[in-house]
Amino acid sequence: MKKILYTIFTFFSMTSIVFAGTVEVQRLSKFKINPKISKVFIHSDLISNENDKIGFKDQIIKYLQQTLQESKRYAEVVVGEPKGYDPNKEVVAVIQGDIISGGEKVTGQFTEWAVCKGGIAGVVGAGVAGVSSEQGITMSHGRNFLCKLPNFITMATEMALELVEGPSPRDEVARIYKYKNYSLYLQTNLTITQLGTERKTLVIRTDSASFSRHYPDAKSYRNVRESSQGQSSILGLMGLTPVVPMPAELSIVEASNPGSNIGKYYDYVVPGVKDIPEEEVAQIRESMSAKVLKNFIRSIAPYKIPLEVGIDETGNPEAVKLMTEKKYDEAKVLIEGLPEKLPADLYNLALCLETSAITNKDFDDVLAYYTQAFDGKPDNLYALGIGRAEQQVRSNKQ
Amino acid sequence: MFTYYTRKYCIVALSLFLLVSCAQEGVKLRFSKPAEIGITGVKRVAVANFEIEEIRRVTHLERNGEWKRHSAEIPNALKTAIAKQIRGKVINLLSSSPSFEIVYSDEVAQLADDEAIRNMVASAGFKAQKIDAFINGKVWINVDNYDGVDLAKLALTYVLENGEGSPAYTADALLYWPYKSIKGTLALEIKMTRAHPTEVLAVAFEKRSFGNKIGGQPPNILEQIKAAADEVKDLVSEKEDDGALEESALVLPNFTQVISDTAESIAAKFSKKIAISEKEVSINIASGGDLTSVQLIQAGAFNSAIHKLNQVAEKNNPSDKYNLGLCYEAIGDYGLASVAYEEALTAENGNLTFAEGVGRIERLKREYRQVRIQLSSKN
Repeated sequence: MKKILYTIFTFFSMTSIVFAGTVEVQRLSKFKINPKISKVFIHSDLISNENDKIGFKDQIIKYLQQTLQESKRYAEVVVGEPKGYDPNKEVVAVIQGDIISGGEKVTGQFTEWAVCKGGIAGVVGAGVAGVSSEQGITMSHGRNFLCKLPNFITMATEMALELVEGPSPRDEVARIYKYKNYSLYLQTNLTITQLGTERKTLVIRTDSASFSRHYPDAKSYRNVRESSQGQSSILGLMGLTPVVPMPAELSIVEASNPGSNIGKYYDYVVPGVKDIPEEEVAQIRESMSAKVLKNFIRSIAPYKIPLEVGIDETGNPEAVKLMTEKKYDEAKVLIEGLPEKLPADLYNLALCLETSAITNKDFDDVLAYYTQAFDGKPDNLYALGIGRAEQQVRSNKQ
Repeated sequence: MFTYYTRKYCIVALSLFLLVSCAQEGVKLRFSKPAEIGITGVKRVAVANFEIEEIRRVTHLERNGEWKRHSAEIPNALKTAIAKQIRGKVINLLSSSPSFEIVYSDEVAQLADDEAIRNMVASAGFKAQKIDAFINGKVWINVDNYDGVDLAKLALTYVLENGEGSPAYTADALLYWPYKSIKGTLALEIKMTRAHPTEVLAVAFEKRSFGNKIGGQPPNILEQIKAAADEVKDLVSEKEDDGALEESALVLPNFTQVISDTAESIAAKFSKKIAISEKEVSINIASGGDLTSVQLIQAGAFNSAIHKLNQVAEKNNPSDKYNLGLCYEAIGDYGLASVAYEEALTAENGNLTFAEGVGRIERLKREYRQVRIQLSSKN
């Protein structure tokens, strides 16, 4: 929602603003870690994987090492036992903890209502439903209409087409299908402890991440009851009064009962659903590791956050070009060297600094440049920069 | 049944319309909220073990009205992991509060129960420097997984041909709707005990039920409204994109995940009881004053807005005075905020927005006194 509003705002006020997309700005760690600590050991022997049923440990350690190194807060991040340092002279830190993970693969059967429409709207609607969801498309026996569970997109498509060709005839059906559900769970309990003349635990965090996906088996969809069934007899009775209600026994659809003899055969249909592809599994595991470690890393090291923000293109053109290419360090040097800086240059300089600020003083500078830019030209974008910088300065002082 | 979808999307559209049309120009501010229980003299807190008193997991399978039960064996390693998980969630919450300094001590983490804590305190046997209070707890977990079938009616419509008002009939069908569900309760007792003199400072015992169902009979009208409201909530809420891990509503949550989420919500309640928390309040900005300042307030640049508003103070515009009060309120200077709001209200008596400012600050000053007392125990 925020992105949409920001895009609209930028669109209507883009006389001087170029939308930069996502800029990764830097934020300080949530806990103040002893600045003397420049070396961190990730003690893999003390990271228990007793309950790590799907083997996340190596990935977690690798991601932790890589991200802490990229934060540039610690000169060295070593995987292994803390050794090779003088505890009387140096202060180091060690990370340990445990990893819990698990996964489930569950198969089952659902019953659902579906609608089958005639005309072009029905054919196109079914096509859209097949593409926009993983559901199977069935066919009604009476009039050979395509049946699907409608969603917002299919309804909008069909309504648009029906405006042209008029309302379509419609059947409704009850259908059953098989599915396979996947779920993965990951939890880390991590601590970072300072070692040296004084030993103390600095931060403990417990975080979790989960993933789940529902795979309907498109080939397993079967209509078990259709509104067209018995239409000849019902339509024959439509002109007569009174209409005799159908006995309840006749309306029971045993084919939808997984426990009955008629429905039971369906228990033996093994869902032929694909498993999650290998390359996607790797990506899911990586995302889960990133999510579960996010708060621990943010507690002990500076971190980047994506920000939807604009560059002021009325500033120095070369600097603007470098910034659109995300070369913020080069742009910063260029703007700092300008003999005269316009408000747009000051704003762009503050934005460049915000992408790499790692100390309280850096944020004081960011705030000063945004304020100077706003004093020169009271632009909403500059005000947003001041707001962000002020918030950082306030939270860092607390 | 078709109307389920049209109705659902109508509710979504209506809710969005109401949200947009009722929106006021305002700013969201975060305030400190005092702890429910005033605890003095406690600065350093250590979190001990959470005992698993009971853990039971049963699966139930139903076909044709016949139920089969199966009790699952919970390995000790999993029990230990759950205990650690709950302890970790309590630490996560308390470490982000300014009320206490958490002493991360391995020796305390290994204290199994109340008796172990008492023995340790009595013998003054802990190595960790000065601990004022301990937090520990007990957990009872009951989880049932169901695999069953609902029997419910479905009306199936047959529309004969094209065109408005064409002949149609509806035939009822009694269908079996298979479902899977998870239901359970988690009871958590969390206790804070002062070390010297040994006394219980706060206890929370909370029992939460949880449940989730996939499949089963079609939703009724109340469930449809709830689903539509959730959809609107998801649409308007601003969530940080953190890799956007997929979570399907058609998959039951994992056992460990359910326990973790429920324990966290109980721990959050306990944390509010004993520690200062934060709350977010939406406040109106006064119009008719200095526009530059309004720009800055909307951007959350309160210090810069104060600077601007002080520059235009000689104009004696009541809206500027109110906005100045709002900025002071935002940065926690309630004394100056009160003065500015009072001046605005005096200049324009009967202005509801200004009166709200005065009322809000009076309540905050009362609460802030408690916050200060609670914070002074930390310093």
